[in-house]
Amino acid sequence: MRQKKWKMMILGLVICVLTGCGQVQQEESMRCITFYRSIKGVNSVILSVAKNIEKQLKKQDQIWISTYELPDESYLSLDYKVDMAILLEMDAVILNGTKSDGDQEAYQKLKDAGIPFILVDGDNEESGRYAYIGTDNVQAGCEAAKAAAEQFEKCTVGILSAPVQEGNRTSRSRDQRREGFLKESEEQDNISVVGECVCPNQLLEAIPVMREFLDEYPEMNVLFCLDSASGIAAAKVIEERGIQEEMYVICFDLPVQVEEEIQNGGIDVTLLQDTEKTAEACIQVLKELKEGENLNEGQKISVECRMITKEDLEQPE
Amino acid sequence: MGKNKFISIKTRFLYFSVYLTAGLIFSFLTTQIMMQYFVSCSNRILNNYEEFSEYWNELDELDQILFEYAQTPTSAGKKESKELLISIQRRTEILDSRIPDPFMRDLKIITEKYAESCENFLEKEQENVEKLVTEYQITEQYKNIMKSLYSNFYEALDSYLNEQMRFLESLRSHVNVVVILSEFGIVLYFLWHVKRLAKKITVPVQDLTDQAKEIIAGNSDIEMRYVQTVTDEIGILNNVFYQMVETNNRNFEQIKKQSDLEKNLAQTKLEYVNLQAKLDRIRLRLLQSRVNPHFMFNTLNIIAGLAVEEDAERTTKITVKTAKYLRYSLVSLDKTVKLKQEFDNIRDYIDIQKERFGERIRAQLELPGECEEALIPSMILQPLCENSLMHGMANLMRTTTVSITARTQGEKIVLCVEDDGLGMSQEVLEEVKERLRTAEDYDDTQGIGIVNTYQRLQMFFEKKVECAVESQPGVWTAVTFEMPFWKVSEKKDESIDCR
Repeated sequence: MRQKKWKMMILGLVICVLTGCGQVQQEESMRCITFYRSIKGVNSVILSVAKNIEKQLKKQDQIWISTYELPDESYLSLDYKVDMAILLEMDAVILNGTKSDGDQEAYQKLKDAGIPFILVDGDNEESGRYAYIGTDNVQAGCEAAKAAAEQFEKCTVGILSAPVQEGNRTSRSRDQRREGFLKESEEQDNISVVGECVCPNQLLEAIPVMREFLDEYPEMNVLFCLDSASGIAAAKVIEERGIQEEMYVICFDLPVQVEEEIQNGGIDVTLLQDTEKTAEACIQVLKELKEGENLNEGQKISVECRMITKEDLEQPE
Repeated sequence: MGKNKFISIKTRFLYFSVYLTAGLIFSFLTTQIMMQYFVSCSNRILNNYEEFSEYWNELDELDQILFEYAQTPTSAGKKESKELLISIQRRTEILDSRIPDPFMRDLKIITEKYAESCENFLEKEQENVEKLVTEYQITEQYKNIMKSLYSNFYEALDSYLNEQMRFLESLRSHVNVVVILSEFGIVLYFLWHVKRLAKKITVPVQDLTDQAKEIIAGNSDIEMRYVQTVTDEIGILNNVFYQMVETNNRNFEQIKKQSDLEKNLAQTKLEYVNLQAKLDRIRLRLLQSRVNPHFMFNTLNIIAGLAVEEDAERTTKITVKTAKYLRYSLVSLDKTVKLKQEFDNIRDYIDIQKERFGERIRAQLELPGECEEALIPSMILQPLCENSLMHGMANLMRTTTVSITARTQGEKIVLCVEDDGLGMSQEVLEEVKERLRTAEDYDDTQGIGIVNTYQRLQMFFEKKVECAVESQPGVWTAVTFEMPFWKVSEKKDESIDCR
């Protein structure tokens, strides 16, 4: 009687295992593709997002992501990426939002192939994207202003930026950051923006410009840098003059040089996209697409930015 | 119930052998299966690398053949190309099925597309070289895309397989630990089992051996345990041994009791024989002393008649007293009498002796009324009185007083015969006392009167008599007997002469 019970239990277990295996095999995975290029000293946001997606995906999600590293010429060609996605019969694509000439045709090709695409770290509302997931740059500017206001009783701010082509994605991001900062400055009583400076992209050229700017406004104690290039230049001049304690420097993104300047004390804080949360949002959208229910085409998901200080770098997660 | 089931030693050893063999087989099989599993996993990983490498080699080879085919189409080139196409597709299918990675699926899909374009190229009319070249260029584009993605595919494959290797290594180290622990556990289990089995068999055998040794050594006090629930042959052996020891002990006890009884019987018989001999001797003495009493009485009566005729008053008196004394001594001897009768008799005896010794002897008899009914054997006082007269005063020229007294002392009666005659020397006194001490074992038919009297009293009063002899040479001698105060009602079975 007892042996019969055992036999029944083992048989039941075997049936359950076999049934479970069968069910797993029956369900097809959703295949998604994304691309990145490797630039020395630059942390690719999309690569970081892709890695976080891979990390956060669970087996039961049944979502596969192929992250291809492309050479510069291929990476810069949206057409190439789109052709790849179509050739590989992908179910979804994650791309950097671009607004160059001819991009629209490439986006259209994807739409024609029935492949939904998600834009991250740069939006293109006309592309017909299924979703945009990125940092709210205006909000990031506001956060920067709040951080500056907490440092001094009276903040005299200088705004720095590197030159970019008007109207492109980077230019728009900077404008939004500036807009957010100015908006918050009006709210805060102790912030006054005294000057703005456009630094050259090349560091050697940017440093003298920075010196002049600092000499011109000696009362400045906060430098709000709209990009990493101007932030690095500002940090170099501040370290040169040994006024790290007197100055509070805010910049964006975290390339290797910015990381070094934070360690050296030249830059106090940098704001960057939270790639973990972006990945989380991407997975949500991909699940939505996979299930095919409650589709919300054209949605825009804002992700809060992260503020990184020297302490954060010393205590990595 | 199951725990107390009878399992023979043979079966126990059989079980043990089966367990041991099963454990060893299990251990061996587990190790072998694990080893085979790891070898097969490692082979599969290596095989994946090989498949991948062969895929790219064949892709290059195919590209070369297709290029040549585009220049000079031949059926052999076509056939070879198709074979290679099938081969590379099979390889990607294998990789895709084995490696659940998006890149391997991508490789499979892109290979299918490439194969499709190649098929199209190979199916084109061989005469139209221009068209062939155009089609070849399409395949070339696919191939270039695949080549550009090679590093991605390779890294994905390498990363996945490295991860698998790491997992396998970690699993192997864990499995090794588990296998070692399980083998160690099996060894421990068997050691425990061997110890248990040995204990189960050797301990009871050792106990039995020790008990047997004790029995051989003569120790009958060993405590054996009876096994209530017998689980093996040792238990049966123990119980058989237990029963054997019990039976032996019982037999031994019986033999011991029988031996004691026989010993007692022999002792009693010996005592009886001794008593019988003593009695025979006493009877003989009595018979010797009864030398025709009737003749003696008749003679004494004739003398008394003659004394009356001749007016010899003293002769008449002494003759009558002698006859009375003789009658008492002959008739009452070996009988129980009252103390009053004994005193009357001794009075006659002293009167007779007075005729011999005259005024040299003086007698003082003292018998209180409460002592008159006391029972004693007859002729007890006479030998004592005779001792006083014969030995106490024989050579003395002065008057000697013989004092015979009786008195009660609690439940006892005390008789004392004293004289103030010669007394006894120390040596004689010691000899008398020594003979009194050994009187029970001593046949004193021809010995001292005191001892003889003591023996008779002991026999009569069942050894409850105490005797004391005291003397001072030249001054006095006293013989005292202390005995139970028996009356007629307490000694009914004895014949009493109450004349």
